[in-house]
Amino acid sequence: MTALKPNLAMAACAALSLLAALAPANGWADLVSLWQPGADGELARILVLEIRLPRILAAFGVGAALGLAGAALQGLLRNPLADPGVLGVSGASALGAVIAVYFNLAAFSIWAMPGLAIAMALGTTVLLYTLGASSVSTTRLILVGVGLSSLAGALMALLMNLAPNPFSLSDLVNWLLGSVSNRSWADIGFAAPFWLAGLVLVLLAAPGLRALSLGEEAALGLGADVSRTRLLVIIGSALLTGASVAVAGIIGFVGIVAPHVVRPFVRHDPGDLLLPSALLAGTVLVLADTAVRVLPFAMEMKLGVTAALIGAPAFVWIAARARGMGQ
Amino acid sequence: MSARLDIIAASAGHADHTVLHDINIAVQPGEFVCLVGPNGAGKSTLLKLAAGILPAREGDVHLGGQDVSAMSARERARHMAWLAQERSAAWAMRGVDIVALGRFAHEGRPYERLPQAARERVNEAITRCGASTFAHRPVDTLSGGEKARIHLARTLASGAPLLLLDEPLNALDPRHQLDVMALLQAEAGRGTAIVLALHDLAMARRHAARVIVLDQGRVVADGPPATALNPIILADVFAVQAAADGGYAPA
Repeated sequence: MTALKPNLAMAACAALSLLAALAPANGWADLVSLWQPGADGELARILVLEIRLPRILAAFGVGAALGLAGAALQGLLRNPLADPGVLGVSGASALGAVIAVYFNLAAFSIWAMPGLAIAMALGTTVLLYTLGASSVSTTRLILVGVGLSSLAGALMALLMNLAPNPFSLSDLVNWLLGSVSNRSWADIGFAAPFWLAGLVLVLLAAPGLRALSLGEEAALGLGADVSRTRLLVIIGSALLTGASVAVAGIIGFVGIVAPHVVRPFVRHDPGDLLLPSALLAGTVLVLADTAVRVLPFAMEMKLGVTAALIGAPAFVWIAARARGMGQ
Repeated sequence: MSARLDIIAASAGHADHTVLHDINIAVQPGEFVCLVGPNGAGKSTLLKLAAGILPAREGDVHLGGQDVSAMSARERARHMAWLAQERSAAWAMRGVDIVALGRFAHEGRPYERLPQAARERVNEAITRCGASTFAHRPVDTLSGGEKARIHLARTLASGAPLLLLDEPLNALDPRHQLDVMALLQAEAGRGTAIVLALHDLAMARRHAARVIVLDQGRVVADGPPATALNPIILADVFAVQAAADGGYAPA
């Protein structure tokens, strides 16, 4: 149901970026020695397959999930500035994860942390939707999101203030800054089912999002099942965001920037926007993560920090020019 | 299913305010009905009620003998097309994609991926509304009147046997107003039932075979223009009187 050309182009970019990201540290030598027998080959296999590949796939998965969630929320709320980060969904989700870590809920179940992260994402999206649905003012929605973000940030700061020892504090801070370093296959296996479920739900909403371009009543008049579309996007984007936050902490803005770049290439169609936005956002995070990995800083830069350094100015630029879009 | 619309003893409104009271209207296939009334009389609400966008609080709305509240949104949209007064699009989509949305209940795809037959319907609707020259431009670059014609084309492209149009002449220049009225009359001649809300009483009198006058949420007159828009109704409901030049003057 989606346009083929932008998808193929973006898929090619994504594949290239994944391949490029696998190589850089020692040039292509690692990849060649993958097939060598013995200790040399074994080292290369561990390096590439057990350390680098999961990290790259985590970066791609997190980026794609956030790009998809951003594109879907923008379609639902008819607002180009909607994004899990801006709306406070990521913040609330991170708060859920921090609570799970702080109270050591993982001792009860390994699903406690991602579960709480997703539940908080879901609750926040529903709250935002009910607040935003009563008025079409996009400004109000963004302001509510900013408020929720700040509240989540303050509660996380409170937990850090009360952190029992400096080690758990630095753990929390590191995780919050957003990173995919040292992610394992287990982390990916954890997030993948949520990502896939979110992907399916959001893609099912694509035709409904197309009808919603004309507003909710008009969409209903066109024959769209508006409440189904709403439910699909809310649950889907919450799964995508919650799982991403559980894997990588808070990584902002990629969900705004990617759909904004893709939009002209899909004739501004909110349904066709979904998949290419996911592919572009994944590609961008893979490249950004490769950059932080190979840049010669004494301390590795955090992916979340890099994403914000690029994404925040882009957000300001889009917001300043957004006059003709939205309501 | 025939396009016969029956509104039976219906009332409707918003949370704390009843807009329509005890409405009884039947519209036959091929009928061309103008809905007039002062601001706030309930014209838009009545069209939304008929379109199934707003549920009836009391009474029933039937389409071809079937209760619209029991139909799915898609089923309803296959049998009637509703043009809202507000014609905004959230994104800078092209006119053709907006018109293609008229096919949503059948296909739900952007213009280029519509099946041949559906795309021809879309093209035909665009041509009939005189929108061919700007249909491929993004809607946010169009004037109010051009947007109005794109959205009218969307309702025509649906192929629905009942059109519910809320002020389709808004923002149109005089020539295009006449063109649209002629187009709708021709459409009614093909058997499509058309109900449109209008402000221009002279236009309603000249073009409609039947005029329904709403006042404060009630039907106060229903019939041929000459009887429905009689001097008493004009004075009581609109506070105007027919003037010598064919227009209206304050009563």
